Amino acid sequence: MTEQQKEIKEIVIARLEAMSSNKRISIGSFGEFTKEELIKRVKENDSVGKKIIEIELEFLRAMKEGITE
Amino acid sequence: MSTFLLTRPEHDTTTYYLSHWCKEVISLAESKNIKVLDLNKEKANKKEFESKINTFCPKLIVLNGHGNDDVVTGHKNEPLIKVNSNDILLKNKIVYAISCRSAKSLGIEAIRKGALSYTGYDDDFIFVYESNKISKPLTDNTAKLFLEPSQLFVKSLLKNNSVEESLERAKEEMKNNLKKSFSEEEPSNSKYLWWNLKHMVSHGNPKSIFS
Repeated sequence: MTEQQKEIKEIVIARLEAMSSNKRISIGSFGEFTKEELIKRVKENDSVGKKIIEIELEFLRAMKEGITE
Repeated sequence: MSTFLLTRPEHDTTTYYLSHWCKEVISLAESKNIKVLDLNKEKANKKEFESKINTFCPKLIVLNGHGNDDVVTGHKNEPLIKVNSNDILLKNKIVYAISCRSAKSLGIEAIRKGALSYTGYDDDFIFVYESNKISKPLTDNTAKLFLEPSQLFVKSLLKNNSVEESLERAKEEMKNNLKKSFSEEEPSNSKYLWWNLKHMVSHGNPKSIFS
C-alpha cells in the first residue's frame, strides 16, 4: 500500500468516526453496517471498505465542482 | 382501470424499511381507484410475480428489493426478474426499481425487450437509518431524507406526470435534502444522498405516462 493510499484510508476513517453511533447504513446487497463495522471494513480493505472509500473520494471531488448542479 | 404492481419483501432491515416507506403510495393509488397488486412479504416470489403480470398486465411496476446489474430479487432474495430469463415480462411497462445497480444492465435490456421506461440505480442504493427506529421506519427522520424522494417519483407517476417530470421532481427533492444535510448536526448523510442522486437514472421513453 502506497503512502497516498494509507492517507486516504485515514481520512475516510476519520470521517466515518464523525458519524453518530445510533446510525446504521444500508448498502444494498452488502447489508447493514454500524460505524464501527464500516471502519473495520475500510481497515481490512474488503469490498465494503473499497465501496466506502470510493464514495468518500468521489464525493470530495464532486464538492469541488458543485454537487447539486 | 389502471393497474399498479409492487413488490415489498420484508426479510431484512433494508427491505423492511423500503416496504414501509411504500405504504403511502399504495394509499394514494387506491384513492385514485388504481388497482394495486401488492406482493408483500412471502408473496414477493417469482411465481406470484410472473402470474400477476401475465394475468393483469400492470402498466406500472415498482420493485423494492435487493439486486445487482442483472437481477432484482424478492422475498429472501429470490430472483424475480433477470436479464435474458424473464425480462420480456417488462414489455410495455413503466418500471421503477428501488434496488442496487439494476439500471446498469437489467434496465437497458428491459428497454431492448420493449419496456416503456426503466428507472433505477446504476450503482448501490444507500440509505442511513436510526437504530432505535427499526421497528417504526416511518418515524425515522434520517431514513426519510433518502426514502421520501424515491417515493415522490412513484407518487408523481401515479398523478399522471411523465417519467421525465417525475424524475426531475424526485431529484429536486434529493437536492433539497442534500442541502439540508449540510446544515445539520451530522453532515455525514450528505455523501450518501449525493451518491443516490448521482446514480438514479432512467432508460427508455422519458415521456411515458402511467394512466
